[in-house]
Amino acid sequence: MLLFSSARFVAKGWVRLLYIQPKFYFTYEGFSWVHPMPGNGMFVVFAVMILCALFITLGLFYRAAAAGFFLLFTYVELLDKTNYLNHYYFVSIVSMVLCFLPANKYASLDVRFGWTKKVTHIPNWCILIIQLQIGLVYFFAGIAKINPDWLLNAQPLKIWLKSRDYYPLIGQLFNYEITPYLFSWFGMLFDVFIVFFLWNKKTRPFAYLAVVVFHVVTGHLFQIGVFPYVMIVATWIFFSAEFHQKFLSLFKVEKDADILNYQPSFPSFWLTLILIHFSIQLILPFRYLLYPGKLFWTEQGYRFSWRVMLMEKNAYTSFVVKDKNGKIGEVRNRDHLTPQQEKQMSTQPDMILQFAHFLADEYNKNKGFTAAEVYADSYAALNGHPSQPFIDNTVDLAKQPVNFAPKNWILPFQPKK
Amino acid sequence: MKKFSNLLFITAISSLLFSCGKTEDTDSFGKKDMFTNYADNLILPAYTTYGNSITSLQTALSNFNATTDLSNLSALQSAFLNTYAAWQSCEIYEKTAPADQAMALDNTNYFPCRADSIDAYVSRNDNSAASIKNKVKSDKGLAAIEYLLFSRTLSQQQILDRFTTGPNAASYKTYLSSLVSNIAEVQSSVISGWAGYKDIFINSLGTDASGSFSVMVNSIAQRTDDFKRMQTGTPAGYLGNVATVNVLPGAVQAYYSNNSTNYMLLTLNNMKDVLNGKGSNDGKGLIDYIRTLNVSSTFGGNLADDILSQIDVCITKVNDCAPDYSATVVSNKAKADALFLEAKKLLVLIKVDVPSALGVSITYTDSDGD
Repeated sequence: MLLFSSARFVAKGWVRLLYIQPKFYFTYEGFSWVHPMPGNGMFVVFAVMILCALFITLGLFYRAAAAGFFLLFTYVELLDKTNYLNHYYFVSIVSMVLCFLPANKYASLDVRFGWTKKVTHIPNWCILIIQLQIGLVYFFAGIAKINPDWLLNAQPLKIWLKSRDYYPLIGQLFNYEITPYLFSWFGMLFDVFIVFFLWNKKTRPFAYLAVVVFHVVTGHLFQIGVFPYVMIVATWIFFSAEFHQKFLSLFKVEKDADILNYQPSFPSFWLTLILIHFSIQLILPFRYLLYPGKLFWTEQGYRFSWRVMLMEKNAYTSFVVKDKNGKIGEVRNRDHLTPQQEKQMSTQPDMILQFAHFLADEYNKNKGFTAAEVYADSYAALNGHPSQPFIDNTVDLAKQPVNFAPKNWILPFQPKK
Repeated sequence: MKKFSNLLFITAISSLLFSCGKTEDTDSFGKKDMFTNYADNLILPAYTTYGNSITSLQTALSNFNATTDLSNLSALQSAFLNTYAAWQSCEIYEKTAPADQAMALDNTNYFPCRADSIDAYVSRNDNSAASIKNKVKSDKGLAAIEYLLFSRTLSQQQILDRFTTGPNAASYKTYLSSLVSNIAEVQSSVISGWAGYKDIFINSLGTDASGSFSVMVNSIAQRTDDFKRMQTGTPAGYLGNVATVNVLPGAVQAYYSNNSTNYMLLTLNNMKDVLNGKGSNDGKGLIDYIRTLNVSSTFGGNLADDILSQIDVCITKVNDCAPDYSATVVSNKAKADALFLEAKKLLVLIKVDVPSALGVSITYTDSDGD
């Protein structure tokens, strides 16, 4: 069991992943509404990030590169909430974990140059961490689908598939009443159970085929960027050492005859760290239970929980700023936000609040308002339910604190009559 | 387990077919028919009718420039009103690529125009056709032409004097001609844009931002937004959705020729036709498609029916405000408020419920604020 794999393959597994990274960078740069950083500054950040990714792949200055990549990637991700995507979060987490793994101990330049001791076998837990992390992604994505909208109404897939019924050949299938239900249930079962099938050696080839098919299909049907390919590559970690060895031999890396074991120093320290990490990972997705109301409506505790493709939500949110001297101004969201930001903001209460606070500052500083009050008028529609008022338009949002307390100015969701 | 792999197999096969297949219109509704209907039966005819009206306007203008007298002034005025009315059926396509790229709305129908700024340009002889293109939207377009040709206070003779004996008379004439050339130029660039775009339009059946569902929904939503904000809200003193005491009677559309409520009715009736896909013949429209989705609206009925009946409610409220919205906002504000309220409900249906039902996003940028 302990001969499971070598960490080198971890790196190898991520190689492809990290080669896909430049695509992210482009997309990011292309949509460079990410805060108005001085343009060239961001290019440097991305250039260094790509360099780090390359070094991780080659196993050169591995730890520094992994740490650098993690920091830079996370930094970019943190720049703007409206850019949040589950797979960026996933990349961040995995790159963080990689900093601590001995993924440069086998087929790496660090070894070739003699900067680190060669190791052919690493403890099982090194692999297990990544597997567990991927398992959590699927599993939480799966249990998030166990909700009435998804399973009983087949929403939002009903909307999404129907709108794609012009696709060649399979398009017709989308017009059958049953199709979105099959997709919904299959998607849920896939996400919940796939990781167990990947774990089991017997079912692994089938499971991997399922991974590829599932992600290719969803990747074609929906605009979800590189996520499917990230997962298709990331799941290689479930394959055996022999598999990776074969793969490596393509690169003329020969198998070692000797067994060189990797022994980390301070094992109990690392174990504690891992336990803490996974405790957080396990608890975070459930934090929504602390909030009242329907999760998809209020989105309190929605992010960082592997909830993928669960909502078709649209909203129309407009703001008015007033002050006690009778000054009043209508806000044109586009004066302050990009289309993407506006779209994200209008459906997500925490961003509505942040924007309201920004507006209060802006109007106090630059528009001669005194103690500006900000009111939002907002309507939203979720997963095929009719539109309804979203935000209490009598509440001065400038006075509402930005914190994790429940937001009682979100009007309660009224299910379909 | 067996079942599981069977499912996998089926999915695998379908995904294979899916990647190899050719694009055929497989949907039961006939989306391609619908977008073809939009292009051939509604959009192009609307711009063509508008273009023909501009041609007549240009003829009337050259007659007026040659012989600047009262009878040619009234001929010019009536030609202009035809153009103004014809535009009301084009504006709803503002977010289709050719119109968007030509910045047709900003060049053609921003209101109210800035009378004092136009007068200042005229007095400085800053009036060439080339300069109009670069002027801000409140200094050009139909509203500016209307300002030059109509008045609520001046007599026909006094309007004529503006172009004959008044100060800067020649410059007024030039400014007027430049305004007309500018809208003509924009119209022809929209038409030529459609020549290349039509195939893309009728074949982009997806719901992504460039797909025609998204384009049409965004365009109609933008139009509804402008109807709510500019035609009904701003004159009645609304900032966003909040009522203020600053009623602005001069901010109505077609203030000088007093056609505010007439054009509201044109807007709404046209919107109904567009949603129904009804041009010179009755083809497939978005409402027909939405009806097949069988979704309910926030009013509890079928979304398709509720949208149409909400437009009818708005029409009733407009009629309550007729014939002069600028007078109504002063003398009978409650009626204007009622209209605004119903316009806002219509906007929510079109801007939130429709995108939700179709799976498209509202992405248009607010054309306001420069």
